[in-house]
Amino acid sequence: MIIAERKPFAEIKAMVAPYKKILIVGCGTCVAVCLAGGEKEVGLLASQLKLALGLEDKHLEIGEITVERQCDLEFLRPLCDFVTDYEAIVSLACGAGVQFLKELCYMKPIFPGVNTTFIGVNNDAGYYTERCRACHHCYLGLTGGVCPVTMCPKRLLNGPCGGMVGGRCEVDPEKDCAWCQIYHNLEREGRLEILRQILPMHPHDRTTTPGTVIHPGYKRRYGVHE
Amino acid sequence: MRRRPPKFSRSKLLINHALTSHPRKSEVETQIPHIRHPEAGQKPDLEFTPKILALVCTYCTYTAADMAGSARMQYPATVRIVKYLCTGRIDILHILKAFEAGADAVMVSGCEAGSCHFLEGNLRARERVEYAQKLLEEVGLGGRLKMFEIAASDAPKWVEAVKEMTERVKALGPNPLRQKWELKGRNPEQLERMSQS
Repeated sequence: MIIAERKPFAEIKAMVAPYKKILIVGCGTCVAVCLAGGEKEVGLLASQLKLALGLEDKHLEIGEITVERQCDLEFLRPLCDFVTDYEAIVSLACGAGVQFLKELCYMKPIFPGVNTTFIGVNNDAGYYTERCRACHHCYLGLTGGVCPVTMCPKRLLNGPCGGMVGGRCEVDPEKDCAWCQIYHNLEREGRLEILRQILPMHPHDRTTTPGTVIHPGYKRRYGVHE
Repeated sequence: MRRRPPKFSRSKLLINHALTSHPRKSEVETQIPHIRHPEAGQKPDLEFTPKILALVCTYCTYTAADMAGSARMQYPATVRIVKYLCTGRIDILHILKAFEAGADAVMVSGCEAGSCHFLEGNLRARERVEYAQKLLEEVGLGGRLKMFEIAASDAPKWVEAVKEMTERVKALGPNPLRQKWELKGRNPEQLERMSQS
């Protein structure tokens, strides 16, 4: 799940200041789960803007709508007609959603309402931690289910740096050393010999942005040949 | 033809009703008797009577407020009560909508910690109220929201809470948003008369 945090209110208020009629578009998937950009957060932001601008004696007409997923054309397309009445759009989706919406509504200025943070998990209500950096090459099968690219601040692929103290990371003593966890997990699984295997350099060439993935079943449709 | 769904939720209707409906005549009289009987040759004093919305739990604070009424305890007629089955149901949006509708302050009141009928509804309400306080501070309405914990048997505490909230709002002044609407709704002569009085 993509985790995001809402931008400071002052920043959003400054962005919409020149407009009289704006649309706040929420996204009902990842950012709704991490309480940053779902239907409820759209309502809260609209209410906050109305109050703040009302106090300054300004009038701002605010439309609110939340789509299932802003990163999906299927859900985004019906928004096209709706958007025409508004001067500007504030999108509470992750960065992908904001850009996709802009591609569709290219005549309107669009502003992000959240800062997209990472791909993570929902530990508990309101508590999220990072687990994946979308690095194009997954090592989890070789590392006991702990990602060295994400969980190790130095992104070491072949063992610990040696700087850890008592199983704690030297970069952030609050956190466990990823390679300690990898060792213990593999020990419990009885697969310690796997650590003798030296991993090659991470394929950074594949991480060049922007990435594209075409499903093998659809290569003909998109004219891609191997 | 398909019927359109209602525009407002039930809670919003309740909040709007609580804020727009006037207190009973007797309450107004006890609050500002000199408006009804101005001394001869003296202009009536336009005293500010706060409008406070109380979002309360039916099991604890509502019972306490009921008991305060049965026991004829005196407290300012500034508070309008919206009853919830549990303070855990109170949404931050309800609080913000109350301010949009013109409330001078909102008080949320639930059971004491550990005595919620639904185990932790009051604790969740406390977290939400703290977040709502932050949101209100961001927009410039800080200090107008407070959470209380009042047990069902604690009518005097309810009376104290209402008095405390009323004093707090009197110190802060009316909700600036409401003031602006009230001024907007009047013509220049009315405004001039207001400023003279």
